[in-house]
Order: sequence, then structure tokens, then C-alpha cells
Amino acid sequence: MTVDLSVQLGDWSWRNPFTVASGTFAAGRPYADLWSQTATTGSADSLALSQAAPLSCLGALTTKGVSRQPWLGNTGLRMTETASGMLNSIGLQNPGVEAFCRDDLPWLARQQVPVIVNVSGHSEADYVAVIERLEQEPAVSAYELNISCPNVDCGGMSFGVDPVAAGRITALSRAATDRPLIVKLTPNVTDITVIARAVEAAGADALSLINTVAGLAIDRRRRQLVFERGVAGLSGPAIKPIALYAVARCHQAVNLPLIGMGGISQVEDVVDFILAGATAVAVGTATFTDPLTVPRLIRDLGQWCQDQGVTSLSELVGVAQLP
Amino acid sequence: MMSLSGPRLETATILEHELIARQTWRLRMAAPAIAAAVEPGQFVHLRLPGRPDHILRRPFSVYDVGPGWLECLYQVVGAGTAALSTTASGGSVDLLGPIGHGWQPPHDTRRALLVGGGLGIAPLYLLAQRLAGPDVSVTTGTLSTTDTPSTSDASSATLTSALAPPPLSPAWFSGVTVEAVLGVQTVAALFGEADFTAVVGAANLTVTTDDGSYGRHGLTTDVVQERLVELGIDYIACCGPEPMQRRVAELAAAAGVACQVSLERRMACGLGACLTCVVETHAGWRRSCVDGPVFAAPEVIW
Ligand SMILES: Cc1cc2nc3c(=O)[nH]c(=O)nc-3n(C[C@H](O)[C@H](O)[C@H](O)COP(=O)(O)OP(=O)(O)OC[C@H]3O[C@@H](n4cnc5c(N)ncnc54)[C@H](O)[C@@H]3O)c2cc1C
Ligand SMILES: Cc1cc2nc3c(=O)[nH]c(=O)nc-3n(C[C@H](O)[C@H](O)[C@H](O)COP(=O)(O)O)c2cc1C
Ligand code: FES
Repeated sequence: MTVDLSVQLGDWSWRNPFTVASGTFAAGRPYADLWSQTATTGSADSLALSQAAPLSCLGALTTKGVSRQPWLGNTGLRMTETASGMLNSIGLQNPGVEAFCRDDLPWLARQQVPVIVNVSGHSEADYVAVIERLEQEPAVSAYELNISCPNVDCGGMSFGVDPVAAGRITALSRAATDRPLIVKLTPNVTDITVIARAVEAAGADALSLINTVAGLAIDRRRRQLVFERGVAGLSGPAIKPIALYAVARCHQAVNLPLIGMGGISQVEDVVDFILAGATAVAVGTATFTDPLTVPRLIRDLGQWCQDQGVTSLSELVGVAQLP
Repeated sequence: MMSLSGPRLETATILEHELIARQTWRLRMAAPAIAAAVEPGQFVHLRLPGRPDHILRRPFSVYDVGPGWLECLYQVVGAGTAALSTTASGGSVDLLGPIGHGWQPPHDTRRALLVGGGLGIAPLYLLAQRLAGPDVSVTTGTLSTTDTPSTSDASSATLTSALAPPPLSPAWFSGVTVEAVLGVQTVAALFGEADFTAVVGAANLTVTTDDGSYGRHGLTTDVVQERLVELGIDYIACCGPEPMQRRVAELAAAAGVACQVSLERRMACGLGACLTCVVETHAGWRRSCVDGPVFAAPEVIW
């Protein structure tokens, strides 16, 4: 039996349902070397990695957030581990869209992988400016609007908690491009389906679910908060049930393909997200634990489908429905 | 650019695991591929065995290497290191390494001062060996121990490199006088004295304790201050608590002596992807995992 792992996100087909979660993979270079080396030494058997283009095993690559101007990110401690998770307060540090086009895109263009650029901004104009700049770059396949980051004061999540603001920014971005437009939502809202519907109506092609969950950590010894901004973003296995719930609810509420993420580290997690309604998945924090997580998951999902007699993943999407 | 000298993943077997000082463990692991590539000042990112609830790896400097093995020294400070200390010899750990830019003394270094506080001593021992050069008998002795590397997990490709001598052999330096100052809180926490004595000689080693229970009563920085006045020191390598590193950096700057520091930051990926580990420098944020952990002291904004 041959298993076809390819998936369709609207008109866009991926060779398999896997991408990487924005901000956990940079623009791919740190992992390309390691994956390529694994391909050479054969030290992780039966991972189908190409030495020359190791990232080509991905359905798509999602970059770190890119903004119009360089962003410095947050000062102070940026990370702490939690039970089966981690809190981060990076603050979307990035060198800006010009540096991205100059330093990362030419390299990315040679990696034989579709590139999704994660776009962030402080204002509507910022988002549109980044997209307009990237429209000149043939190496970019799609955009993922980050309107859901809890780690920046102005912009970021403030767009993603308000259906009007979320709809407006989606519509403005939609007007700026014909490429697939993915909008990434935050779970830090009372009802995620309200935002999902607003974004769908404004012309989004797909949703990414979910960005990190707002959380806090305390420095007991100094009797103060661990992070300078107070709030930080929780990721990793701890948030998987929250993410699954968001996927199941949005699957019910909108007619868009969903990219599920939040705590995926094993093939069982991938299957759960697909059954809940995701067409594709992204892996983030698990790559920190094991840098080969995604290649392993690609292998394991193929094996799982074989064992279960599944010939196409589309038969599974959203099969486990909310009442 | 696909470099083969970058970090790699290796499943390492624990060869020896013993308590060497208060809350301080020596962990020797068979990891031929990483051991063959380690440079002084680099570290490994270790996945805690049997603790999937601790999702992040823990960074540890490489203290010593030999054919097929490497050694880390670590202190139990929290849940992860406490869990690690219960792992028995024969068990395996998943390593990512070697990582980072290590020490880079100026090529004309003649007299180096290595300053370590607490577990900050760990990344200095390989440097001491490298600076002191191959003519120090004990250095070569360390490298030719009879430990056989465990072959169970290694592919044939990594085994070949395991049998080749580790690249410590082309000493960058010879005839460099190496002095070391090792500072600990109290004698019960002291480790590494014999190792350093063997490499730098007893006359060139000063141990300080905060409480005066052993060696010289006081701080490493007191010794650094004196040495900078008395001798022709032309390079300082420093690792330890940040206030100590900062003070040493100031003393070195005032004396016009080249100084490098190894900085500790929390690290998620260890590969330069996540930006959790950044250090503020005059060249902007740098990632301490791959741009460091060793930085030129004058570059750091403290
Ligand atoms: C480059 C580098 C080299 C190091 N070398 C050594 C060494 O040779 N020997 C040694 O004993 N220790 C070393 N450390 C510190 C060591 O990594 C921490 O003590 C260890 O991670 C603590 O883990 P824990 O679970 O016990 O502590 P917890 O406090 O429970 O850990 C919680 C989180 O904080 C991180 N963390 C806590 N303390 C530190 C710290 N000081 N630096 C970085 N991350 C920290 C942990 O990795 C973990 O992600 C090094 C750190 C770095 C960055
Ligand atoms: C260190 C770190 C940085 C992140 N940076 C971004 C970012 O730049 N843009 C974004 O949309 N999401 C960012 N995220 C969120 C992830 O893309 C993802 O939505 C979240 O971590 C949940 O997936 P996971 O549990 O698999 O990590 C970041 C997450 C982490 C842990
Ligand atoms: S630990 Fe991820 S960039 Fe340094």
C-alpha cells in the first residue's frame, strides 16, 4: 500500500502536512546543517533526508516573524521551563524585512521548500508594507499574519483579540497579495470562533491555530515576576488540549483549512490534530527537545497510515467532531 | 553552506558518574563523534534522560575529552540537574554538540590567566591543556587513557572518527605559561585542583575560598588584581558568576589585557534559532549559544 501524505490547503498542495512553527526554526539555516549531517552520517536511520536540500522534506517552511523595521525584542530573561512546557518572552526580535530579503531569502530560495513568511507589525500599515515588499520576491510562497503574539505591547495580539481589527488587517493584507494568506490566531480570547469568522469573511485562505497561551512565572526568591513584561507565551505539550479545542471549534465554525499547532511532539499528536479538524500541522517547541522531531514525524505518520490502512489524510480531517 | 563541523546528535553511554564535591558531579560519557570535534570552551546540550516532562535540554561545558569520551562537571541546582544525578552508569543520554565559539586567545599569548568561579571552572580545563601544550606530560596522559569507547550506538562513520586522535593534538600554543585561579565558596565545594595542578603546575595555581576554609581566603578577583600588577599577563579567560566576570573584565580593561568571558544564558534550542539566549553587546544582540558562549569582554554590555 502506498501512503500519500500530501494535503490540500485550498488550491495549494503540500507534499505532506508538516511545517515548522514560526519563531522556533529561524529561517531554517540552524537546522539545515544538522539535518544534512544526519543524512550524511545515516545516524538516524530511515529518515528520508536529502543531504543537499534537507529542508525539502517539509510541506512548507514558516519563518520567524518579519517586521517592516528591525525589532530588538525584549530585555531581561526571555525563557523559563514549565511543567511539560516553556514560557518565552522573545518579543519578535528580527532584523526587519530588508535584511530578511537580503540575508535569508536567497538561501531559502535554493532549499526546494515552499516558504511561508510570518508577518508582524505594530500597525496595519506595517503589515501591508511587509507584504508589499515581499510581493517582489518570487521565493515567497505565502504569508502568515501574526496577530496573536502575547510578547509585544503594540500590535501583535491586540489585533487578534478584536474581530473588527482582525478583519480589517486581513482585508488590507488580502488586497495586497494574491498569494495564500494564513492568519494566525490567539487562544487568549473568550470565543475564538468570532475572530475566525471575521478573518474568513475578510478573505483569509487558512488559519494557523494556535499562538502561545498567555502565562506568568514568579521568581519566589526575589518576590517578583520572572519576565520584565510580566506576561509571557506558553508553548509545548502543556498547551496541546487548548490547541485541539481551538482547532475543533474553528473547524466547526469556518470553511477554511486549518494548520494546527501547540505541543505536537509525537505522531499521536499529529493524528489528534487532524482528527480535530486540522489539514496541516506545525511543530515548534518539540524541535528544541529533539532537533529531528519533524523528520521523525514525517516517517512515523507514513508508518501510522500504513498500519491503520489510511490511504489519504483527507479521510481523517475533522472526523472527531464537537457535539 | 553545509558544514560538517557543526553540532551533531549523539546517543552517549554514561561511563562514569560520581560525586566529586558538594552537589557536584563528574559525568563521563562515550560520545566519539562529539569528543573528536570539541574545542575548549564549547558545550553540549544534554537531554535529561527519563524526564519527558522536562522538555528542554540543559547546557553543560565540556570539562575534558579523550579518545571516544567527554566529561562534564555539573552542580545540582534545580530539578533537571537533580534528576540527572540519579542516572546510573551504563545509562544513555542524548547529546547535541559540540556547540558554540570557544576560547580564542591572541596568537602571541605568552602568559595566560584562567579565572574560574564555581562551576565556571569547568570550561577552563581544556583551555589550560591546550595552552600549556603537548609538552606537558599529563595532558597527553589524559588523552591516552585506556577507556574504550562504547560502540553500541555509533554508526560506522562516527566510529572511524572515534579512533582518530582528538584534535587537541595540534596545540595552538606552546611554551605559554598558564596560571589558574579557581574560586569556590568553601572547601567542600572544591574540585579540579589536582587536574589543574597537573597541567599548570602547583606554583601557578591559586585556590580561593569565600569562607577561608581552604587556600586563600577571599575572591578570585583579588588575585586577578594582584597578578595584573605583578606579572606580564597578556590574556585572561574568565567564567563564573556574572558580577565576578564583570569585575575581571574591568580589571583587564584597565590593565590593557585581552580578556574573554564565557556567559551563561538560558537556552532553548542551542542552535541559534530561538533567540532566548541573547547577550547585549556593542554589536547588538548576539546569541550566546552559537555566537558565544565566549565573548571578548570589551564587547559585552554588562
Ligand atoms: C554555555 C553554558 C555552559 C554551562 N556549563 C555548565 C557546567 O559545566 N556545569 C554546570 O554545573 N552548569 C553549567 N551551566 C549551567 C547549567 O546549564 C544549569 O545549571 C542547568 O541548566 C540547571 O538546570 P536545572 O534543571 O537543574 O535548573 P532549573 O533552575 O530547574 O532549570 C530551569 C531552566 O533554567 C535553565 N537554567 C537554570 N540555570 C541556568 C544557568 N545557570 N545557565 C543556563 N540555564 C540555566 C535550565 O536549563 C532550564 O531550562 C552552563 C550553562 C551554559 C549556558
Ligand atoms: C521561542 C518561540 C518564538 C516564537 N516566535 C513566534 C513568532 O515569531 N511568530 C509567531 O507567529 N509565533 C511565534 N511563536 C509561537 C509558535 O509559532 C507556536 O504557535 C507555539 O509555540 C505553539 O506551538 P508549539 O507548542 O509546537 O511550540 C514562538 C514560539 C516560541 C516557543
Ligand atoms: S538557545 Fe536558541 S538561539 Fe541560542
